Amino acid sequence: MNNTNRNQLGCDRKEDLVAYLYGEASASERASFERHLNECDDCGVELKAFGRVRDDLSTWQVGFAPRTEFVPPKAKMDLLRELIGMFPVWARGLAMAGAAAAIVLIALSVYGNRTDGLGSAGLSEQQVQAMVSKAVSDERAKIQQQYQTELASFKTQLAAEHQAQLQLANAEHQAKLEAVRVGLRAEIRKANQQNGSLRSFFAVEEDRSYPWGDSR
Amino acid sequence: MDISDDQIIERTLAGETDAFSLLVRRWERPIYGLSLRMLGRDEDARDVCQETFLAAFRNLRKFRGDAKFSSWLYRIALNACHSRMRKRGNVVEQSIDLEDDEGRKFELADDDAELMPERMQRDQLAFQVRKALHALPPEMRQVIVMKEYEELTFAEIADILAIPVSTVKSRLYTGLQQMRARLEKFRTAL
Repeated sequence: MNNTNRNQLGCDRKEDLVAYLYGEASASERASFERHLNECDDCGVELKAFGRVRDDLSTWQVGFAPRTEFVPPKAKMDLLRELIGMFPVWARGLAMAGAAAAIVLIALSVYGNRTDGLGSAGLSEQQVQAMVSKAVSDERAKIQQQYQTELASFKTQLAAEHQAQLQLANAEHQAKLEAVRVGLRAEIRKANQQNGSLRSFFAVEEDRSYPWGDSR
Repeated sequence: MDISDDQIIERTLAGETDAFSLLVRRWERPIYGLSLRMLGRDEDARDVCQETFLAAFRNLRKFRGDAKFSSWLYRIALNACHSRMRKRGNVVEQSIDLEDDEGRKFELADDDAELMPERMQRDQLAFQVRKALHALPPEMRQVIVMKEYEELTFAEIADILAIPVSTVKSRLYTGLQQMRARLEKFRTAL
């Protein structure tokens, strides 16, 4: 009960006063403080004043408390189950199939990385250089092969086109030759006809030149 | 025989989550009262009440049986009150409700029509008490609220606030002194 804290009026028994006020002092403490009250008017006045404050405080009573609506929060797994349950069966099946496919793809990807050696750490510089050279060389061979294939295809196309143009030119040439040939034949027939007429004419004239007979 | 708080906690932790509602029913009134007197607003007190029980439920496994469940619950509620006061800058004095929308917040001691002047005086006094209480620093206010209204012992308050009993008494003494000064001013003005 001894303390050195002094109240406003200089008494150092403020904690004893509070304990006495609220009935939390032991029998001996109570007796001790009551003896003090006989000697200290300040504590007596303060005790009465605090009693009034307590009476005033009791005017504020909370007559009711609103009912607290408490719903125990559900565990995350329960919420997930509820959410899944909201979807139709076919959607759940589809989602499960998708999830399974994703897992397989991820597993394959991880496995692939491991077998390529890229998944493991600690490659030497030479190994990296060799890998890069091989990759460049492979790429070059691939490009060359592609170029050769394209070139061969171009050549084939060109030859086919050339052949087609030759055939066309030949056909045109043959047609022209045939036309000339037809024209020549016509000219020959015409010439032959004229020649026949001339022969007939000259044969008649020959007979007229020798009316007295020919002694030949 | 009433089931104890510890038994309810045991049942709740064993998976019978609905058992926790028994604790809510048992402690909602003290927690609401504490929150209302700390914050001064019914709406805030309701929110704190809700937050307190939710936090208690979520952290029930962390509750150690060596302390009283009610002390633990008061501590959670006080933390929620302080958090709310920090957010709004502890401006409770301006937002004190004299009574709620339905006029049923305060239980008046006497409804006799013949005693209306006395009742009005009492209402006024109650309002002044609220103002004086909310003018106190939160550290003093919470000690007065717990001692005066929740009727906790000095040791229980010290346990909840994790401070020595002597500090509880000291804060209580200073708080009462400040209340006395304010209320005597009001009485003089009457």
